[in-house]
Amino acid sequence: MGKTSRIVLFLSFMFMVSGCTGAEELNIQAIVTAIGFDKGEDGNIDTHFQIVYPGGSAQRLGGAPQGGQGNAVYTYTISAKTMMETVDKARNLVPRKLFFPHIEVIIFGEEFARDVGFSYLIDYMERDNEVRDEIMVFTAKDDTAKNLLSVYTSLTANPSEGIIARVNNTFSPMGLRDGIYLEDVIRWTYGHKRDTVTMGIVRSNPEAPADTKEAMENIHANQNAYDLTGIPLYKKDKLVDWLTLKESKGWALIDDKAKETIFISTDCPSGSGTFGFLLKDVKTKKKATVNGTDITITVSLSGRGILREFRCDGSVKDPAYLDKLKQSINKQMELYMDATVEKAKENEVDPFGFGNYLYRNQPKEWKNIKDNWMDVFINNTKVEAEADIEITGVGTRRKSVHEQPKQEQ
Amino acid sequence: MSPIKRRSSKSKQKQIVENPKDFEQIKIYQDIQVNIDQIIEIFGKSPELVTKVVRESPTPYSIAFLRTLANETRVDENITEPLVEWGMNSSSGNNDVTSITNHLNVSSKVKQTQTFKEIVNGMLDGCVILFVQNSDVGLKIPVEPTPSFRKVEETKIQTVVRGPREGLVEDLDTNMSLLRRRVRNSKLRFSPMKIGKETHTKVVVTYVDDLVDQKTLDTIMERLNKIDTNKILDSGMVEELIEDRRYTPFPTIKSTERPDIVCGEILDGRVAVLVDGSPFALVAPVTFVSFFHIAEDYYEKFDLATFIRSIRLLAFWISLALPATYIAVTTFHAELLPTNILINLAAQREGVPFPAFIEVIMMEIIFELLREAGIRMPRPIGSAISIVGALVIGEAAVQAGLISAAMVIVVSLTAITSFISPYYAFSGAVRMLRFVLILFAATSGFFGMAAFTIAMVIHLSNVTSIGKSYLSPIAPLSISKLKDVLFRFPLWWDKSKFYRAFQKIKRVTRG
Repeated sequence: MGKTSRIVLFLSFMFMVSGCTGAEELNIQAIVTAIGFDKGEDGNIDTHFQIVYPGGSAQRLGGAPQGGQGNAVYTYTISAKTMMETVDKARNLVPRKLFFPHIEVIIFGEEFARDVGFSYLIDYMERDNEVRDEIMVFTAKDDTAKNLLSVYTSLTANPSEGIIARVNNTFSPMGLRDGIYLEDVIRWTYGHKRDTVTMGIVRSNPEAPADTKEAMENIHANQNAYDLTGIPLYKKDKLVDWLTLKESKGWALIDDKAKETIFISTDCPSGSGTFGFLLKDVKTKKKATVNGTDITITVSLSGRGILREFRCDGSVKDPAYLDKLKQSINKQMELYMDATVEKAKENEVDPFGFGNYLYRNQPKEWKNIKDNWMDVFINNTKVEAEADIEITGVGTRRKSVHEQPKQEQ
Repeated sequence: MSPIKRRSSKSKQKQIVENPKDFEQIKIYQDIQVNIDQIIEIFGKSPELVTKVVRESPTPYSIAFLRTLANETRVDENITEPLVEWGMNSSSGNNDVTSITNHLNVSSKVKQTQTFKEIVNGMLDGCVILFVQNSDVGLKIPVEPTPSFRKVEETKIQTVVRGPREGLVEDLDTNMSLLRRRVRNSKLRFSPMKIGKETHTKVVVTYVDDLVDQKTLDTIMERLNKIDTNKILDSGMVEELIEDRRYTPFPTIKSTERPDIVCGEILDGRVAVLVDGSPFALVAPVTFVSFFHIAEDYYEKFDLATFIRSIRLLAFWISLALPATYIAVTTFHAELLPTNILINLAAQREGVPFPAFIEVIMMEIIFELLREAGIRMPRPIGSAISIVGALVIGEAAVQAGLISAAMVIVVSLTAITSFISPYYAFSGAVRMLRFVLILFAATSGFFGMAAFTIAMVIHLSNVTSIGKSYLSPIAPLSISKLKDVLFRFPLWWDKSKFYRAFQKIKRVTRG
């Protein structure tokens, strides 16, 4: 047998062996973009798959004109005991093949997060070869995931797009550099010695009907909108408490997750009035000193602030006054961070990764305290927050209108 | 017009050989009329055959030539008239061949021939044959050939923005002249030969004597001499016969209609083959990367040339792999696409009844049909095809729900990029391989494409062009030659023999 014919034979075998396995045409796939979990009845878990209907979301269809336009997304709910059962049932319910790689958002209902815990889904998600780790994780505050996934949103046809856009928006309330992903949640909970957090989400107007297309024709867009809210604290895989927005900012600053964040109302140095600024290039460094059982963790913050709104009676032209402003800023940030640490201690969780920091940087000391780390954290650990923010800009206005009338009087 | 003396049954001599197979044996006869009869017997009664027997002369003579090859006017001016004049002035019978030769008004050397084989060959070369009474030699007189039919025109296929516009033509002498005017160097050699048992096509091997790679030249000469074929009608037939025997879709000999490219190549030590009747010259050996290079690269500034070269390389990949990539991504690796693009693509596929594979194959075949029709159809109908093509491919197929709109972009981009390669044979190889790659992509996605690409590179590194590695200078690697692969380095960076003169000039001009 010649060399050429051998090669041809081999190639033809290759075609037969592969036989188009794994090929899936786009129009037989159901692209799942969001999953929600709720505690159901009889110990079941309700899983919601939000599926994109491309015919409804894209402007123009490729094929022949369709009979009727569909909606951009549909949410299927499946009640089952395990993830596998869920996916199996979904195969019966959904006319197309579920396609997981494009899941962008996971939402836990509050009740699910408190009572069941997210460990329910982690194993399946990690084991499945289609599911990715870069899925943003949210917890619905005082609400069910189903309610959140029953919203047709304005401006973005696909609700998960809208949610992600909010997080990636620089001026989102927490100013996170990046969202919190399933990858982080898994790593924090099961790998690192710390407690996890997710992002928090609520509907702006939870009672308003937003689950039909007609709702989108209403000019009041609030009813089809989400708000990002403070982040939830988890102990292991279960929700224990919620941080306020301010505390969430404190968390982001301590954990070096802040990118660009705004502080709306900081007290003026003189006492009356407030000013707001934008914080940029934030960097956080931690340093731990272990003294027997007493641990001092210094969190030092550096960055630069740009004045955005100024309602005080000083003048920003005066360097001495700017120094005072700087001190107020630093003080405020330290307050934010302290409050967050307080809240964490109350709930007996360590969402900052202090334990992980000690384990990495002071392994000898960590050996002594690792068994009762939570006790040590609550009782014997002092967190000192130090902020050092330079004001590098006052915006495009030197003299404030608030200064003007006072000089005239 | 010379009178044509027809062969009559009365004047037919018994001596001539009828239905001659081998002219070598037939010697020239003493009688001028018999010689002419023999020629008529050989060529048949052809209107192109002009014969004339002159007995009313001190020395009776006869002439014969083919007026399709020899310029009839020139024959009258240079041969017939001087002989008539001489016959009137001289009265003494003198049958000396040499004295007749001296009275001809021709500059080239007149050759004496003994056999009809040489006579026939001479006539096919466009010579005039002169027989003298009572002499056993025939005179072979070269005259000006009939004028070539097509003038040197602008190149049709390999066009440039900047650079010489004249292209090679069918006439071999014109082509040699085009080359000689560019390389006024005594080392430029034209080595002639004849190929084709029936056509006797003139073939000229061109090279620069001290620059040429001797081994390549020998190989080409040997292969040309070995060619055993009845007909050569275009250089393409010679190309296929002298290629290294290897089944490969890629061309291993470059064909070009540009005299400046031919000159550039032979000055780089390569060998060119000109074939009479073909406006395309062959150049060998060539490399894979040389098909991305055109003459204009060296006429434009080096930075622009480099940029355009990389565009050409990009076009090669798009042309080869875009439809396959589309299939692989949409049917195997949908997770690679950003969600929004995926949704848009999926929306276009809603309601399309065929798998992406069938869609691509359908559209590519439609395009190939249009392209072939565009080349073959009569020129005046040209616009009709483009209207139908644009409507069928662009609009109607999408409207009818047969294909998705993104597919139109894929196919048109593939089509456009396939025209960027300046060498038709090379883009033809890409066209064929595209379908193979589509098949691989449809059966096993990116894995199949990777397998195919690896196989292709292995194959390419195995291909040779007249004994030289096809992938050179990438494999085997030659760092110094890499400066003319993807990049076109400035001319003054070149250290090769050809540019030494440049450097000298530069040094002089810079003082």
